[in-house]
Amino acid sequence: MPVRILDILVALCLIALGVHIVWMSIGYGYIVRNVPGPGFFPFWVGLGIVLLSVLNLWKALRLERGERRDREGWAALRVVGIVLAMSLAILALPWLGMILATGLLIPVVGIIINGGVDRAFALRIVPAAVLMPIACYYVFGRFLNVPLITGVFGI
Amino acid sequence: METLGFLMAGIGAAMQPGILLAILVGVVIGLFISVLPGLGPAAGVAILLPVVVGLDGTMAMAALAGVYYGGMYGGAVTSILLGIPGDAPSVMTVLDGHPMAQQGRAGDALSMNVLASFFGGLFGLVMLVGVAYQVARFALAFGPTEMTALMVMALSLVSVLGGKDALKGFAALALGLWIGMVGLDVIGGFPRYHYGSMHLLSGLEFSVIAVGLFGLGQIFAAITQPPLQDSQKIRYTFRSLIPNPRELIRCRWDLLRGSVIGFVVGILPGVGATASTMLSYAVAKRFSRTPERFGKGAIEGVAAPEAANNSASYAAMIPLFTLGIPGSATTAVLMGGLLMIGLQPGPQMFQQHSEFVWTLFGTFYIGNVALVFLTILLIPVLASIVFVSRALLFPMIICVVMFAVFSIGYSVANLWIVIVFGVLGYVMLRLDYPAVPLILGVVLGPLLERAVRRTLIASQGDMMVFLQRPIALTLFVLTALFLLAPLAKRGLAAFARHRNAGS
Repeated sequence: MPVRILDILVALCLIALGVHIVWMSIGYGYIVRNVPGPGFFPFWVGLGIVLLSVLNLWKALRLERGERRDREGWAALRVVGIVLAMSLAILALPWLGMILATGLLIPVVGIIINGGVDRAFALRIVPAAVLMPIACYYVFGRFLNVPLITGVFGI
Repeated sequence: METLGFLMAGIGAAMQPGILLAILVGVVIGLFISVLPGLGPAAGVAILLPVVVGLDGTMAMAALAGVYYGGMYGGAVTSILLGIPGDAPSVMTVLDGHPMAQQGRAGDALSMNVLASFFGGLFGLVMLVGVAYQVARFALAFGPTEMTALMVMALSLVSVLGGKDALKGFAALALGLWIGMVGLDVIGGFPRYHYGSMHLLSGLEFSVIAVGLFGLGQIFAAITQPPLQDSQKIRYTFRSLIPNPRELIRCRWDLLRGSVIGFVVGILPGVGATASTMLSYAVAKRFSRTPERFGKGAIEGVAAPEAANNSASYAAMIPLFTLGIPGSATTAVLMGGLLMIGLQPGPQMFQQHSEFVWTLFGTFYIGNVALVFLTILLIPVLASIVFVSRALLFPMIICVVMFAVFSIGYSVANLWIVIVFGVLGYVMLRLDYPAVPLILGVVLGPLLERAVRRTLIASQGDMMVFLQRPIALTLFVLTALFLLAPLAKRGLAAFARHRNAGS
């Protein structure tokens, strides 16, 4: 997505968020018993978000098309891939547990960043996928006594 | 003399095996983080935060602070040997450090880096110890009005100076202030913006936000950048890394000027170590009898910026420890660490947790000395780690992030939140929205709201109360001048152009 379009979309989202914050703040009570209530601070913060985002939107709209070229292009899709992989790993936690889920996540994220897999990369990522979750298990599960999620295999 | 006694007691208390190990772990992580592609000290401290909060408070903070000042030593190694700055504060070191290495003087440049870092760090530490206690004693007289003025000033400075676009800086700040409001109202406990979620009712966990913004966000941004190419190997001997006293004497004024500039600039919120290196480099060149050597391998061009960034890293801790106001991303995360271990930074901390503060300052001294030897020993490793494949490194860091974030409150919801803030951090980086004002808004937002509303409740809603106390009034006027000066300058320039066009 071109940076200019993303800039406009973010500004529009922030304007909507600002309006929402102001709207909710009025419900919380701007002034309660003659002193500032729970809605006082959010009201001004929300208003600030709206005004600043309108100015940012105006600046983004003033930019010529293509004035700010997207230098990252398709590379940004890797970010989407990693976010999806992490989301799937989180959804799989109750079944796989922390160790197995992260053990599978490591090679998947590695392949996404690497843009593929070859023998040399596989020889490095597989040991990392095995050793890293085990090391984390010992640091967090044993040393720091964190009750890690275990899956159907009991690990 | 009083502070010297406290400091000596602090250094003595820090000489425990557990604390020494925490310092060692912190500074080594800092050294490595500073040379890893795409990650800075803020990311290192943020990722380590959930790991160490389970430890004893002094150990946890010694490790976290070690990452911060350790990072200032390591970044210059790749600047000198490879011409690739490990982090932003070591960009200026490339200008003369790398030409020196290409001329076969890599050892001289590296030893000056270590020496300058130690000298700047020591200067910053002496000033930190000397100034912090006095500032904290002075700040004890500050009420909510003065604290409001101070926070407004710090947040304004960070929003304007922390990025390329002040409007986006303020928008990020406002977003951070709102995120800080999610959960229970700080005065009356009224629930706000929780949307029926019990998780949101207790507020968003600061460390999860920090890991998302600075850890995942920076990783996402780094993977979209082209990988580094291995460059010409620079040769050096360990013997050449031993600091040369003659070079020290030759660069003494550059080291001193760099340290002073680093300290003065570093103490200002939002300006940071990078600006201090640029200024100190320019000053070193200005005062040099042979300025034409700069950029071609002048050792003063390594000494001044390295002294400055190390001095700045300790100066940045003064507003954090004395006023409870962080001025940068890393100090904001450090403040998050202090809050997580149950300590509220500010003037009261020097009275209520005096032993903790002085022991922590003692760890800084030990860490600074340890870094001299560790940096020299680890130079070959640091120079090669920059080329470790991101496809191997980043999945392992993401694995640590997953375990670390889950360990905060043992909640899967935190894992979703860290992803949301990771994406937000990435989008902000792409669109030049600075993340520092956002994180400061999250940390300081509840404190600012409490101070504003308490003041207004006490004054029955009279806004003029903020202008009736001299310190608060001075700070508000300074903030207004700082914000309005660029607009006035632009207006005068437009007026002059208009007048010239008319005549």
